[in-house]
Amino acid sequence: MGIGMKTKREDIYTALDPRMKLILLILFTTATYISRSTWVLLWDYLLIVGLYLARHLWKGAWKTSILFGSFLVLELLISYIPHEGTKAALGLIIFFLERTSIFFVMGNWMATKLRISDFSTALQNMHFPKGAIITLAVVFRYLPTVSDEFRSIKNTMKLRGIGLNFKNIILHPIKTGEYAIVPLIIRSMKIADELAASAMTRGLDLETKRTSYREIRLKAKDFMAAGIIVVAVIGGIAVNSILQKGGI
Amino acid sequence: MIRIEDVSFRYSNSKDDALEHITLHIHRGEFVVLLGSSGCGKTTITRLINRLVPEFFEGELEGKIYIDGQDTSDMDIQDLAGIVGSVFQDPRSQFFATDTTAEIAFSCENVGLPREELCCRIERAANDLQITRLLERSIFELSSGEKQSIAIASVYALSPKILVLDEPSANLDSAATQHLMKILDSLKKQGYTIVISEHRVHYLKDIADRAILIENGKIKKEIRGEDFRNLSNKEANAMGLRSINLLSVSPRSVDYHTGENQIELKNISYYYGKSDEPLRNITFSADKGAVIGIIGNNGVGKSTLLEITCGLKKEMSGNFLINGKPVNPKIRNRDTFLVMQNSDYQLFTESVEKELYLGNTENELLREKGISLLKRMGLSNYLQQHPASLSGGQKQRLCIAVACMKNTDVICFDEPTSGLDYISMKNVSSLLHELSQEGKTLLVTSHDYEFLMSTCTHICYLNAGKVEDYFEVSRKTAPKIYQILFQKEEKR
Repeated sequence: MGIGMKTKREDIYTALDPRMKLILLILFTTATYISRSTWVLLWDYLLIVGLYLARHLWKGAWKTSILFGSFLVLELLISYIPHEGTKAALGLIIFFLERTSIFFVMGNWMATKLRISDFSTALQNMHFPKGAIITLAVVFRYLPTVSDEFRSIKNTMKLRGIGLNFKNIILHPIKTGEYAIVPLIIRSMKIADELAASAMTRGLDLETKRTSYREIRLKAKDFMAAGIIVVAVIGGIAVNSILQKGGI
Repeated sequence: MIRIEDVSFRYSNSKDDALEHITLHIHRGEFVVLLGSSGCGKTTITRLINRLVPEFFEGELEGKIYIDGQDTSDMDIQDLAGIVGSVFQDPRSQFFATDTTAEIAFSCENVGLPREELCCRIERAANDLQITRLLERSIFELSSGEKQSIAIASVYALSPKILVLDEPSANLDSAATQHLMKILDSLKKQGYTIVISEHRVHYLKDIADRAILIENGKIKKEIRGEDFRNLSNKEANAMGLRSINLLSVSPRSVDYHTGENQIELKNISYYYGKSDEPLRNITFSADKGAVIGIIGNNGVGKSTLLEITCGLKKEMSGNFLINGKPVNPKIRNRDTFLVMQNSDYQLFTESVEKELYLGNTENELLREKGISLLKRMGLSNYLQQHPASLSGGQKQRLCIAVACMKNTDVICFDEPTSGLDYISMKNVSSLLHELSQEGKTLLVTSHDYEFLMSTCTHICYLNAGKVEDYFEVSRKTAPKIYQILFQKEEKR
């Protein structure tokens, strides 16, 4: 058995073509903005958790459920606020949080175990511009390490008495946010630079057509799987609007 | 093979020349080591060869560089991809793939080799470098040494003619460094032209054909292979290089005995996840002024032990005592400090001065203390500068200053000397001596034999989750330390 012919267990779960994953990412991010309904949101949340489960990413599914669950609970609580102005303001914030978080959650879903070389090959086959491919490759390569980097930052904040805890977030929200984000940005810029330098010396920028040691081809099952999810998402929006017109 | 003709270079964001009139000819199959202290320009020379200078790191370049007979001035970095293979300092930031096989394939894929050819090349690279056991693994599971082997395999797969390595041992432990030496030796025997920039040179002394000492952007001296091998530690240190004969490094002579107990760990155990080895019944105590070097294999839990000490991780069982009193992690958060390997995570504000007072309520007394601390760390001229614009060593010293501001009695250091040249290492070492003389207790994880010898009072050897050995550093125990640090190679 030669290299590249091996199909490992995890390959079955990651088998969906990276292009299809990208489409799903865009689909989910936009779909929840098209419809304002919480029911559509709930439906999309369920689908996303389902996507995590389908790839056997148990931990991711669990975290995502908790995140989504707490958003929905918050929304419910906000609806009981008697003061109309506060209710509207908080409602707006939660509305955006609920929806923008989808981008990050789907980004994480896509980045987990993503084979970046497959992804670049796939994008090149789609005639994506070179610059965009390199940028995306660096971003997706960097994403899985962010949580590690962030852990180190959180640790130091604790030791320096500016910990990322409830008290500090409430009393000094802006300062605390700044302390958490500044080192992360400085670190990210540095790593992105080093990664890009390494990529250049290894010819990622070459005009020649990229090959892959694994076969990258859109198969019928990729279209099928992605198709089902697209239908489910759009169907969700459609059903919801029909029901609302029907006065339910 | 490589001809650098009268090259001067200045980075576009800098006022000073990084290189001045460098002329250097390297023959086919030659193994050349570029020596010199941090910031001397040796990295810039490696970048001339792979053309990251001036294409990626922009600036003013004069002179000509010929690679394999071709003038590179009208070539791109990627045109050289098939000729020059580059390996960088930090294996974490040179990987693109998330699994090893894809990583090895990466360069070949970019060049567009057909699939069958690709698979053959991956297999050959893995066989030749004896890393078949690493294939099809997740990059994140590998140790630094294994990552560096993969990085070399990846450029090797493309079979370039020249290999350029920029401080490849900076993040490796002693055993992994020995392994790197073996790989480089076999590449040399296959006829590769190898250029490597380093200040930790003990592992290169037997394979180098020529060493070139760079100082302030100029070639100071060329050293022939045999003279390089016979270099004494004193001569090497004078050039800013790490000692060449590690066994003749002598232990620190400063007396510290205070007899007052500062910290005590009683049966501390910690277990988390599958990736870390658990720590079991860690028991030891340290006096005021003791400097404890924590050594052991990668992944044995050295850093975890530091994090427990600082209260960042909570022990599952056991007691942690400071000054005879059991303290919980929250109090340890307050009463200890951890200087991490990478200072970027530890600096939060927009100026050196503000950094010092962060988390402390400012008052006159504190100000005075801060100013004297900065003076001691050689940072008084940088008061208003942004911490991110400091050099690596300066950032580290700023972190130590922050630790002193916090006025804690226990300070932990995670790999404080990885990638440091001799002078910086000595600076860190003497700073630690000073802290220890003030009665602070220091816990230091390290692989750096020379640093451990010249800094620590005690060694705590972790193996299989336990304290395997705990002893004082002296002339007598030196061979033991050496043996622990280098033994793993034989086991492999």
